[in-house]
Order: sequence, then C-alpha cells, then structure tokens
Amino acid sequence: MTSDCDLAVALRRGDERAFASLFERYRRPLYAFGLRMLGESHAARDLVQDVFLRVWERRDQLDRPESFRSWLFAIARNRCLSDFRRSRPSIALEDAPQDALAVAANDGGPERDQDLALLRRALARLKVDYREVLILREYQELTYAEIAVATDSTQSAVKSRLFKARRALHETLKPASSQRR
Amino acid sequence: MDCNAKQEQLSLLLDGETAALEQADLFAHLGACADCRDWFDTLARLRGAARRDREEIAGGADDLRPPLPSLSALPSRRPAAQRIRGAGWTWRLRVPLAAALAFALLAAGALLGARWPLLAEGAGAIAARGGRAPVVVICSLPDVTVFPQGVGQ
Repeated sequence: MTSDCDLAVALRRGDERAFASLFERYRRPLYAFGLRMLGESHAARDLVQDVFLRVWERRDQLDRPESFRSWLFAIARNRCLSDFRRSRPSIALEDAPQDALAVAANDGGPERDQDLALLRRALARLKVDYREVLILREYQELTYAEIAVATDSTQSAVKSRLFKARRALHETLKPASSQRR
Repeated sequence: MDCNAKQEQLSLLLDGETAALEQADLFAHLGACADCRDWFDTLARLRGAARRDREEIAGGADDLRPPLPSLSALPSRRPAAQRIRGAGWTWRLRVPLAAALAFALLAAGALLGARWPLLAEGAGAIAARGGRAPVVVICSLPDVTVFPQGVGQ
C-alpha cells in the first residue's frame, strides 16, 4: 500500500488520483472525528467534504508530506472550532443529538454497551479543549507529537491537557461508575 | 501518597509514554491504591469503548465521494488551458485596440509627413542647439452621430 507520505507528495503536484486515495483512506476517521466533535451526522459529513476541499486548495502549503495526518486533523479541528464559534458554543447533554448518544448494537453484553453509551454522553459533556485531545488520542490514535501539530500546541501541553481531560472524563463518569461497583 | 501525581503518570502509562522503571513503580502503586486502580481501569475500559465506537460510527461516511467535480470550480489551481480560455474576453478587447492604435499612429505620421515635411529636420536642429524638441500629441475625439431632425424623438 502506498504510504501517506508518497500520496501527499503526489497530491502536492496536483495528482487527483492521490487526492482520491487519501480521501478513501481518511473519510471514515475524519467522519468519526467530526461526529464526536460536532455531535451530528450531517455536520460530520459536511466536515469531511469541506476538509478535503481545503486539502486540495491548500496542497501547496503542505510543507511536510510525512506529517500529512496531523495536517489533515489540524484542518479538521480548525473547521470544528470555527463551526463552534459560528453556531454552537457547546453541546449540552440534553441538547446532544441522538447520533451522539445512540447506544451501540448489542455485540458484547450490556456492560460493553453501557461503556459505549457512557463514553458518548461524557464526551458530549466535556469542554471542547478536552474533547478534541481525547478524540485525537483515543479514537484516532495520534501520537503526542501529532496531536501537538494538529492542535497547534506543544507535546508537554498535550500531555497535560490529556491528563486533565481524562480526569474530567472520570469525574463525569463517577456516579455511574460507583453505581456499577 | 500523592494520587494526583500518580494519575498524571498513569495517563502517560496508558499511552505507553513511561520508562520501564517508572512502570514498575506505577504497577506497585496500582496494587496498593484502590482509587488509582479504579481510575486506570475506567480509562482503559473507555479506550476500548472508543475504538469500538470509532468502528461503529465510521460507516456513516462510506457513501461519501471525493469532492473532485468541485475542483474545476476552484480558483487557485485551474488547468493552463482553462486559464487561457477564461482570459479570452481580455484578449478579444486588446487585439482590436492595439490594431486601432497602430492604425491611428500610422495615419498621423503620414499626415504630418505630408503637411510638414521639414518637421523632423527642424526638431533635430532644435535638439542640436540644446533646446527642446517639439512634442506632438495625438488624441482622438469620440464619434458623434448627428441625427436629422425628428429622428429618434
């Protein structure tokens, strides 16, 4: 399989097939990122399309093709932030759309379903700063260095923010967690 | 025991960002501290839930297609052939304007040469004496159409 870096180099030359391959590779991760950040399916689909349009428009600005993934998520993250600034300062739990809170299909017992439902609710409650690092780390498996690039931050700031985000997540889950024990 | 500091390190352990010595210390702490064990277990379980969630929801993007048809509409990177076609209207204006200007210059030159054949010679002589050569300004007047009385009323 062609590496991201090779595809990104071809993309910089204006290769539309490389662009299509990168789209194929990243539409699902981007959609998952968008859905958990924005909480709505149609907003997440718009995000995927918008981000890839920007990727094409700004391909000349991709200075480090080896960091394509961080660059892509940086664009996605900025798109989410401008969306928040424009229309939704935060998504309260009671306002969170069903897409965000839907319980998973029953494939591993009620406890697994409950974890999934708890996670979705808790993420929707967290402040955006925390939500974005958790999604980038836990859903997208980005490294600290990649998250630092994507969030325009430093690795030590990422470490600290991830810890605070996890602590906040744990606090949010505490009542449910103590009920289960 | 400072559980806050330990949990900060446990966060790094979860991401595989701790050295072997620290790991041994952290596992010893987990064996002794129920709160930190609960903290770590909960986050590890949620990591598993996040990965499952990712797989479940990602299918919502399966019918999306790359926005390639939109590429031709983007202003920044149009193909060269398209750029020339896009600029056609300026060329259509420039060519007749240049032809008209050339014709006007030729006509003016011919007119001046016929009426004042010594003009060029005189200008040269003035310049030779250190004076300023005469400057000829060519200008055109707009076309004026005069309608007979009653027409267009």
